[in-house]
Amino acid sequence: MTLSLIALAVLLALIFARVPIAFAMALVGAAGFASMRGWEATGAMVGAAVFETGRSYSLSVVPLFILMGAILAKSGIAHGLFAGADRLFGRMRGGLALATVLSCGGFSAVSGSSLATAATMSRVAMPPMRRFGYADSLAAGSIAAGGTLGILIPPSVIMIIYGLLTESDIGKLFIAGLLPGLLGLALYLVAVVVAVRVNPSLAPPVTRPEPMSGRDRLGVAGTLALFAFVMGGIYGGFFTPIEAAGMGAGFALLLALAMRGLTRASFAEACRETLIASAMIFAIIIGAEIFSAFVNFAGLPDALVGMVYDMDLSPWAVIGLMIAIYLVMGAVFESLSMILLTVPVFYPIVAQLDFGAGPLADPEAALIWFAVVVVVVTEISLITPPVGMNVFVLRATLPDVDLWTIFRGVLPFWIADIVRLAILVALPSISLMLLR
Amino acid sequence: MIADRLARALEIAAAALLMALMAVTVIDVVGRYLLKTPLAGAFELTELLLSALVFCALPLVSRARGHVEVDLLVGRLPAGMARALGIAAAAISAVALLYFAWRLAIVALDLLATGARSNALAIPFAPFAAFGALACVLAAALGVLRETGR
Repeated sequence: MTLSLIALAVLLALIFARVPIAFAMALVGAAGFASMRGWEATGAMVGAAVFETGRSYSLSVVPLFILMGAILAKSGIAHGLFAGADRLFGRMRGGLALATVLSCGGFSAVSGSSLATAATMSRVAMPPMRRFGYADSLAAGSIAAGGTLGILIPPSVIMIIYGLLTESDIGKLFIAGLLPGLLGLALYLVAVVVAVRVNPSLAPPVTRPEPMSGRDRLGVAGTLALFAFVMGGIYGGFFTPIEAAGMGAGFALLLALAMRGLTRASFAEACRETLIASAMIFAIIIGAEIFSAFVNFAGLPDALVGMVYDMDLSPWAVIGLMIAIYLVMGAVFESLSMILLTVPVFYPIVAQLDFGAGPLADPEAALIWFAVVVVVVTEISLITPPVGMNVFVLRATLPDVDLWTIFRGVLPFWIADIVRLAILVALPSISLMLLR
Repeated sequence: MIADRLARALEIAAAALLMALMAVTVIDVVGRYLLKTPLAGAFELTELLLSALVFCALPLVSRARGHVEVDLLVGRLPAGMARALGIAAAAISAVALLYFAWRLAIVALDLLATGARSNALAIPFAPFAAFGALACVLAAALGVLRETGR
C-alpha cells in the first residue's frame, strides 16, 4: 500500500512535468514491479506487454473505428447533419443551438471523437449562429458540450477499452450506453430551451431554416445508414463488435466516395490522423498495462477492497466516492488515461459491492452499469473548468471567443450532465433495461 | 532532412497497413456471407497487420508530439524553463522507449530460437518483434530530436 502510494506520487510528478502519460505509467510501473520482483521478471512482463498489446486482435477496433470517424469527418457530413437538424428545430426560439446539439450528438456518435466533433462543428455551426445574432456563449457552449454526447452512444472506443479491462461483453456495453446517451441528448436540448427562456437575449426569436442540398440529404441518410449498419450488423449477428469496426470503416469510405467529399489530400490526412491517434492510444494502453501489473502485484485493489469492507461503507457511498475522484481527476487528465488508470483498480471493488436485490444484484450487470457511470463522468470532465479539453479545442478554432465565455455557455449543459449522472446512478435500470 | 523522409516513408507504409487491416475484415465478412468462404487466417492476419501498423505509427506520434501530456503547469513557466523541462521529458520518454526496444529485441531472439509461427499461415513472429524494437528506437530518437532541434 505504501509502495503504491509512493508510486502514485512519482507518477503524478512526472505527469505534471509534461512527461507523456503513457511513458510515465510505464516507467513508474516497471520500477515499482522491479522493486518487488527484480528486473529479470520485470523485463519479461514489459516485453510481453508491449508485444502482445500491439498484436491484440480485439484492439484492432481502435484504428478501424477511428478511421471510420476520420473519413466521415472529412467527407462533409457535418453540414448535412446540421442542416437536417435545423429543419427539425427551425421554428423554435434557439433553434440553431438545438440543431447544433443534435448534430453534434450525431456526428460524435459516428466519429467517436468529441474533440474532432468540437473542431469540425465549430466550423459548420458557429458561422450561422453568429450571423443570426446568437450569443457567443450559447453558440460555443452548445458545440463544446454537444461533442461529448457521442462518447456513450455506440460504437464507442472508450466502451471497448472498458470491456477489455474488465472482461465485460462489448456488445452489452454498447447496448447499455444507448439509452443513457439519448437521455443526455434530450437533457441537453432541455438545457438550451431553459437557458433561452431564462435569458432571451441569448438567441433571436426565430430564424428561417436554410434549404438542404442533395448532398446534405445524402449526408444525413448516410450517417443514419452507417449507424444502422454497424448496430444492426452486431445485433443481427452478422459480424462481431470487433469486425464491426472494419465493416464500418469500409462503409464510411464508400459513403465518402459517393458524396464526392474525399480528395486525395483529405484521405491522406484522415489516415495520418488515424495512425497518430491509434499509436497514441496503444502507447497509453501499454503504459497502463505495465502500471496495473505493478499495482495489482502490490495488492492495491485488494487493500482497497479490504478497506471498504473494514469501514463498512454502503455501496452507494463507495460509488459516490469514486465519482468524486473522477470529477477531481478530470480536471487534470484526459479521458482515456483517466479510465485506464482507475478502472483496473476500481472494477474489482465494484464487482464485490453488495447492492442487495435489484438490477445490480448480478456483478456482471453492476460492472456494465458502472461503465456507463464512468463514461458519463468522463464526459462531464471534458467540459469542466479549468481544463475541459473540448473547451480548449474550441478556443483554438475560435480564437476571438474568450475562454470564460465558453465556460459560461457550457454551464447549462454541465448542470444537465450532473442531473443525468444523478438519474443514472439512482436508476440503474435505465442502463440495463435493454439488456434483458 | 533524413527525419522528414523517414517519417514520410513510415506514414505511407502505415497507411497501406491500415487499408490492408480494413480489407481483411471486409473480405472475411463479405466472403463468409456471399461466397461462403471466409478468408483463411483472417484472425492472425489482423493481429500481425495491427502489430506492424502500431509500430510503424509509433515514431510518427513522437515526431508530431501526439502523446497525451498534461501541460497545466509547464504552460505557466518561463520559456527557458519550459524548454529545459521539454528536453527532460523527451529524455525520460526515450528511456522508456529504449527499454521497450531492448525487451522487444529479447522477445524477438526468443521467438527466433523457438521458431514460433502463426497457426494457419505459418508466418514467423520474430520479425514483428524485431521491427517493434527498431520502431521504439526511432520513436525515442525522433522525440529527442523534436525537442532539441529548434
